[in-house]
Amino acid sequence: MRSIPRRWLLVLSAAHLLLVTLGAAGVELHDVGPIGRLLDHYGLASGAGCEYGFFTSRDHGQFVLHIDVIDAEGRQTTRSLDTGASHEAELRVAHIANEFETKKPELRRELARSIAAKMFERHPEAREVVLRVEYFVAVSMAEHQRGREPRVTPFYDARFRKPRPRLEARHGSAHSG
Amino acid sequence: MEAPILDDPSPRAGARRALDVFLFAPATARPLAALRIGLASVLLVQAAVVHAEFLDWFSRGGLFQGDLARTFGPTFGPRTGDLLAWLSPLGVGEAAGLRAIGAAYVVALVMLGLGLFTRAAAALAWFLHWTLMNSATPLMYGVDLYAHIFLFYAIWVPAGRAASLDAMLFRASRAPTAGARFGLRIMQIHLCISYFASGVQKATLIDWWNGELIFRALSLPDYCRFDMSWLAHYPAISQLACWATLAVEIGYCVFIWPRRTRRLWLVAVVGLHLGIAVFLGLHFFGILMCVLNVALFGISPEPGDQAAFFVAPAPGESSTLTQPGMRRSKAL
Repeated sequence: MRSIPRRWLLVLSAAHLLLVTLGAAGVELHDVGPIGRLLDHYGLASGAGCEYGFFTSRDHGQFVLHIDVIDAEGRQTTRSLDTGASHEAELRVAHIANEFETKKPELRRELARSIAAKMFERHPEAREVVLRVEYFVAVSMAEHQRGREPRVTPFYDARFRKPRPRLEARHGSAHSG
Repeated sequence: MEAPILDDPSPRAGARRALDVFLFAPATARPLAALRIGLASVLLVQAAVVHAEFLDWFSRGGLFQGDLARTFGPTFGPRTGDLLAWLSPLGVGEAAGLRAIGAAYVVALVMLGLGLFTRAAAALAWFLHWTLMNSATPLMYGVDLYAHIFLFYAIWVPAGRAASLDAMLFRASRAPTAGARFGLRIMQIHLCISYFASGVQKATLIDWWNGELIFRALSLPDYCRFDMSWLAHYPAISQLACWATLAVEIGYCVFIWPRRTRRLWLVAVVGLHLGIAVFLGLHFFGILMCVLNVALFGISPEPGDQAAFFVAPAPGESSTLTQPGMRRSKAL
């Protein structure tokens, strides 16, 4: 490498690492004019804009999604969103529950509808699908020693019924109860 | 003229020489090759493990039906829907198109691992990985973030100059280069920034100081692999684990560089990630981080080192700045 390309390389790399540092510090560039948007896009493409705050949540809980499938005889079984093929898939799919935290009720409802439709497709015997999102809060070590159990608070629930075939065309594939 | 700088005893010239040696002293591409092979291998195994879910995760009739997937995640970046729109004029349906995208991703990773058309393979793997990340954002976590970052670097660094089909078939030179050193340094610095940021953010939480965080994390349904409730009766263990995590992450950017402490820190950080993999069930994240650490700091890039791993410090050497191979560099 010759001197001039090396200097350019240094300048570009220093700028890249500066973006890495800003991203790691949680600095949002998207709203800083057109150049900020451009840098934000570069950060997304290169990964330079990533944050690294793993396990830094100030609350001590997580959202958990339960799906109950109810057949024509009223038998209820709890199902998972993943196919059960691997722990990795199970872990990823479990993260979907966090999306219910959104402040947009219509998005929450749309997500629930989407999941229910998938469950109806997987379980043709299902007449109803019930989604329950709970907020699970782990207890502290001292609380555990005193015998306290983790707190589970209902956060959202929705019931979807499969319409009878002759009504299907009129009402669509699923609706919340 | 470069010669006067080499002879110049002033502190400024000395600093420039040191910077030049640090960033540009010719190095072999062995660490980059290890990174390339390790990264591709982890992502290939991951693809094999989750392939049964592929259509459910990315099709419009999957978990995110219709355009729902577009409402999550960043507003910028490619998505599978964009690629499918390009393929649809060719008569390729959604399922076939998604399978083609998945197959292309796997082929790109295989080529990257083998080092065949390495840069093109890295570019394709990075692009498709980014596309998949953007298309099902709620399913992504730390492993995808780090894979994305280092696939991007794999495009630019000369990772195909060692242990690759490119080197065998096209007789690419395996001679040490300044580019290999420079690419390695940028990735090393990036890893240091990420650990430091992660450690500092943790250190702002009281739960990382009193040991509560590890106990609570091990109790959460997503991460609960074993019954670790007995930890509550031995809070000192949880507290020590938290302190060790803080020390390893915050100290990483300092102690991973000198040869005297590098081995200790590497063992500590690999232990940390293996612990995360085993006890929190984050297997791919843990393994990928081990791969990154071992490749970037555990494998010697020095041309003279035949034993590539964990080269013992020579007498009087305490820093990478004083390694013999680096003295061969020309000044800026």
